[in-house]
Amino acid sequence: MRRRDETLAVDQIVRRISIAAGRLALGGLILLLCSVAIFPFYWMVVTSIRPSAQLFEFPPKLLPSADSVFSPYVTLFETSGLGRWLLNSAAVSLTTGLVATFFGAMAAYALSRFRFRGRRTSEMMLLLTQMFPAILLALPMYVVFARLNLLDSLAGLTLAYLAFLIPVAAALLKAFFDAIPVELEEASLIDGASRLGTLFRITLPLSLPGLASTYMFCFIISWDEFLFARMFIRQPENWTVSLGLASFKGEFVTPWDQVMAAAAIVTLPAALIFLALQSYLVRGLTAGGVKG
Amino acid sequence: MATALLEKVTKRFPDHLAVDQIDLNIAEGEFLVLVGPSGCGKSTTLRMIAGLERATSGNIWIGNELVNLVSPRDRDIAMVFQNYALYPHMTVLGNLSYALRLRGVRLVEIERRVKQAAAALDLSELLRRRPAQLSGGQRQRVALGRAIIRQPKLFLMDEPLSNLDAKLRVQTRAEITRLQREIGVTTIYVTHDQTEAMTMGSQIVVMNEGRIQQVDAPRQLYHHPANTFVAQFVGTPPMNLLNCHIDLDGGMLRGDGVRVSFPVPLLTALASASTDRPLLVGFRPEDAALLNGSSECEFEGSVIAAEELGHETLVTLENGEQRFIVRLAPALADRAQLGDRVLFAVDPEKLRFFDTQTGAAISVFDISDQLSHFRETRP
Repeated sequence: MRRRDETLAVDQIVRRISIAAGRLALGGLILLLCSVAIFPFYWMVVTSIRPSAQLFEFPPKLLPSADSVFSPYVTLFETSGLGRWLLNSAAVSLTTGLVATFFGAMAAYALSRFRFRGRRTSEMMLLLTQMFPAILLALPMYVVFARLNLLDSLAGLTLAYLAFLIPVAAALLKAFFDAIPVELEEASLIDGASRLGTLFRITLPLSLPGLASTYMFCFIISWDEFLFARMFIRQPENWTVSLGLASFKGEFVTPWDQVMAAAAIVTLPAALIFLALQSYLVRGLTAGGVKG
Repeated sequence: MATALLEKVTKRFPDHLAVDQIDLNIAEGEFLVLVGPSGCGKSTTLRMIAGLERATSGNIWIGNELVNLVSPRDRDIAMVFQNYALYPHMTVLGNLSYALRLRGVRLVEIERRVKQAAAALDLSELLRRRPAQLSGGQRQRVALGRAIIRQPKLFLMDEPLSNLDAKLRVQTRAEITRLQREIGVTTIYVTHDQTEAMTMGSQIVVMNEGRIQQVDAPRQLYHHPANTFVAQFVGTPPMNLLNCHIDLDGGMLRGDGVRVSFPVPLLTALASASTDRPLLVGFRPEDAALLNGSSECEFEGSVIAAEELGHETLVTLENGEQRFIVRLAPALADRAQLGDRVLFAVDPEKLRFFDTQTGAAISVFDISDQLSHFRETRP
């Protein structure tokens, strides 16, 4: 009897150890993946505060040096137009995100809920717009924008981004609307709301996670965009941050500490937007509405 | 409270005809049940009354108003959905008061009505919860509450019990019936479950393949089905239907396991009503009794299955190609063992006749008078 108890106890200990080992291994793996993802950002920040003399030391030091300097950050704002470029980018990206999400939502709702001739074709067209290489469209767009006097203006650039992002937003949001049971809207229609009232009271609140992630997607794409900005914008005071960053690469010298400092500053807004919206990204908001 | 009227209402979807020219008259305060197998058009009919689906042709009246082109929100109806369709981002309170808020009802009035509805449905403790935090039965009650709080002209219910477990279903069935009687609102209720239809409806509409098969009160539907579809759809187990032919010379109906002596005038009437000589004779499983000796109306078969249900035993019998089921008291079940050949008698007045080809019931003039006359004159 006692022996059996002992084997049972041993069994239990072995099981506990194996569970602990499994967790440890999983934790290690997650840590490894995270560090791979985070390392470039870490390196960016560390490089930006390293004194210029130590920048190309070999072997490279992983830890920030004792005599770290923050002067590149100050110099950046004093000597370059970074502040201006940040504002430009913010204006373009915030507007693009907002407008693309709004019109995308309208289009997605129609595609998801109404049956009309050409619905499937329109849906295919949304995807088709994504199949062209951007450079193929850039040239004709340049010609059209030149005629319309939209070159070298932030409004023009926003328009160009919208042309690309509204279809993406519509396709993304359609999937979210499709997941909302149509009975909820029917119940609302019977309860006395109009179609539009139902959209704003029922459908949109329930698709907040979708709206948030769509907005974020559009924001980040237009924040990072380089090709169109390069082609359409001339004057340095109209540059967006991606153009600004590229301009640091000089013909003879590249101030790497400043480039890294600027990159760190540029990355920040995208990270902030993500943090602000991430609580909406949690799914499961519609749980419990239908079915038992 | 209102009446509702459907005139030649048809709904054609691109690929099929869902509802085919139905006429329906719903009286004030009535509890009308639409019942039929899935795909019979009952839900589509309900959705057309709600305005969620537009009729391809025909007219729909609610009260004295032609509502064909009226939007759902202006029809003054309330609907309970199969999956409840509670708004997940609102609390129970928000769900209950949604329709009233949309209509701009005064806050004091909203509060009063919410309290009243919550009390009636035992929801008072749950007003601050969200649908995700409720059990299936509670969600069901919120869905009902959302309907009754409106005091609408019509209640529409689309299989509201099918997501509940069996015990809760029976309980809620009674609750809905009680509620409807108390409020007295005209109700149209859709179900595929004939037990639900029989227990709840004051009038039952049996539908199949987009057409109305019969409209009647439950008892009438059960005892006088209009055709073989209704006979087999209503009742568990369904009505037995056996093939037989008319033997005018012998004064009998004969078939595999069927021997029914009938007065000649009755047989002649049957023969002329039926387009061809063979016809279907039907009886309910509980109308057959074990027979010692002989009877004017005999059914015979060998037992192929016996299902013990406790309060009764269902015995399935076979004779040639034909099968029928009888319901026996447990005490008598021993007399019908597997493989036994057993004889049953059925009261001739309980027999129903159907045309083999069309399936329509053959109503013979005053069968009981004929029979009593026949019995008196028989030696």
